[in-house]
Amino acid sequence: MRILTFIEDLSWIDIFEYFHSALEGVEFSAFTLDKNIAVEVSKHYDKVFLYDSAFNVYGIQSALRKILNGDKFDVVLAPSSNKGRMFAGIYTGLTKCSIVTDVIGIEREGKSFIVNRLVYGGTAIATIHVSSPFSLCIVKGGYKEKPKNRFGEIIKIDVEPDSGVEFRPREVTGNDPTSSDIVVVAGRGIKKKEDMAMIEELAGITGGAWSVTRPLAADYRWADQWIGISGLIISPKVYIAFGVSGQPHHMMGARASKYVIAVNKDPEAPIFEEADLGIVGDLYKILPRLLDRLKKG
Amino acid sequence: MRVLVPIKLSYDINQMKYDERTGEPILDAVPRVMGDMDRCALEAALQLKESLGVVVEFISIGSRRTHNKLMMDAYAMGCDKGYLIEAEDTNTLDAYTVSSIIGKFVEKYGPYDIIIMGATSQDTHSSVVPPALSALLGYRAAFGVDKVTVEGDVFILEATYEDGIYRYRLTPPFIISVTTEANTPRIPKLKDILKARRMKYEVLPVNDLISKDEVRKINVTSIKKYVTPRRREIIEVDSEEDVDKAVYRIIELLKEAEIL
Repeated sequence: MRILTFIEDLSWIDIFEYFHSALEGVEFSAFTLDKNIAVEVSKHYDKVFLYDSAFNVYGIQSALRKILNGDKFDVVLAPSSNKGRMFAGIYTGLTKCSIVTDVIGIEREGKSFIVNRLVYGGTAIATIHVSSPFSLCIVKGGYKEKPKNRFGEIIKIDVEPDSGVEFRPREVTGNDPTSSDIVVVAGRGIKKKEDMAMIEELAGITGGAWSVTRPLAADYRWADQWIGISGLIISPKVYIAFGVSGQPHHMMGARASKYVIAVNKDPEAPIFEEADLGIVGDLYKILPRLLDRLKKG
Repeated sequence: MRVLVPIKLSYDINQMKYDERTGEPILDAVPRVMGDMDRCALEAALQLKESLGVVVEFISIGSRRTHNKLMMDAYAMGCDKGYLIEAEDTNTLDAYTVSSIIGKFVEKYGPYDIIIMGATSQDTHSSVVPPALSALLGYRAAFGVDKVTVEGDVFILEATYEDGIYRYRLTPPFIISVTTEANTPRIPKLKDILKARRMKYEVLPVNDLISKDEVRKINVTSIKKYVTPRRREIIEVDSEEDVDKAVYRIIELLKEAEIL
């Protein structure tokens, strides 16, 4: 198996290594858009294609065409993120291979593979048979393997980026739900913007990050990002939600959390179905008391 | 200018039902609807119709029996012309096949200046048909767009990804996919709904576009309800003591997870 992976950030190296083994790969190539990532990745891959540019669809189309002129792959791996899906989607269009996204597991069966993916807003798992060539977009999860040393070469791909693309990086605020051990999430049960101070305070005391559900970000503009399939996918040790009902699109972004704690006054809220600890009650009573206890130590 | 909007009939995942015994979805009991992002794609095209006078055409893949309402919904919103690519069992068509059907349609019935799609479908949420289609057609593209503005003949398209905001300046032809942030889709008035019922759409057999051998299905062996292994400890808070108990259990769990 010749495998090409799209490495968006270094946290994916261990995850892809797991899939390298599961797929019984023999030749490992990576594609990245960042010089520093390329250097790090080259220690664990046979070959690294570096397209040193801000992400742009047209440039990636051209870069992949160029790579496919000389190299052939049996499997493409990418994160199930915005860019990962675009990369794998473009690859699929260019090579006519099959593609499975939202992958949470893989097993060999004879000459083909059985892949498990999430469907219907993450409420169901579909088991799908695939034979190479195929692309997989992986959901971050528990699988990890120590990357092997391979020391490959970095090959620069020179293609013009789409002339009309500008990139404005997200402001670094120190609040990063994707890399924190605990994420405190506010849902529509939070009545006023001022009450977000309690959510932020809990994140501060526990050394974690905070976030919101989509309506609070998109409709009320209380935050620029939200947890969910159209927003951030997180996998902290603890996800603790206040006033979140647990709609499928939101939970898909939070389901990889190790522990789920939910506080909601509606006993019928679907989030209780998938909580380790569910508190049916008024968050305006529970959250202040929790803050109080934590401050007292 | 001609704008094409491909739309999909999706299962309404907010109304998913599962067989309690087998864990299998009872799809016959789940309503199928036009996805929210597809609605936003139509709205984006219709706004261009109002501002630039473009012609808005739409296409879907399915059968007359299942897709008639979807086609009428798109007409009721104000689209000019609809095409139904007739195929059965469209749920199991693989993403490449869907892209190549739309790609072949564009080659045969185009040219289209702009193709607008929803960023992701409601039920399978793969988001890969728009990028695959852009690669097939060799079009410039921007995906997951949440803001569309037009300056002269340049379209400014803003998309927010994990690391920040990407702003594309594109001139047609191009393909974009839009999120629900892009706009608020119009709700058709009764007279538009009634008028739509008289509108006809063109029905094309799928094999006019791709041969039988090219139709690839996803090989799904099973679909089961996803049950996350959770403890599901529930505390009902009625009294002040319950508040203390709840707070105590939260702190215990935070300790167990080594947060505290």
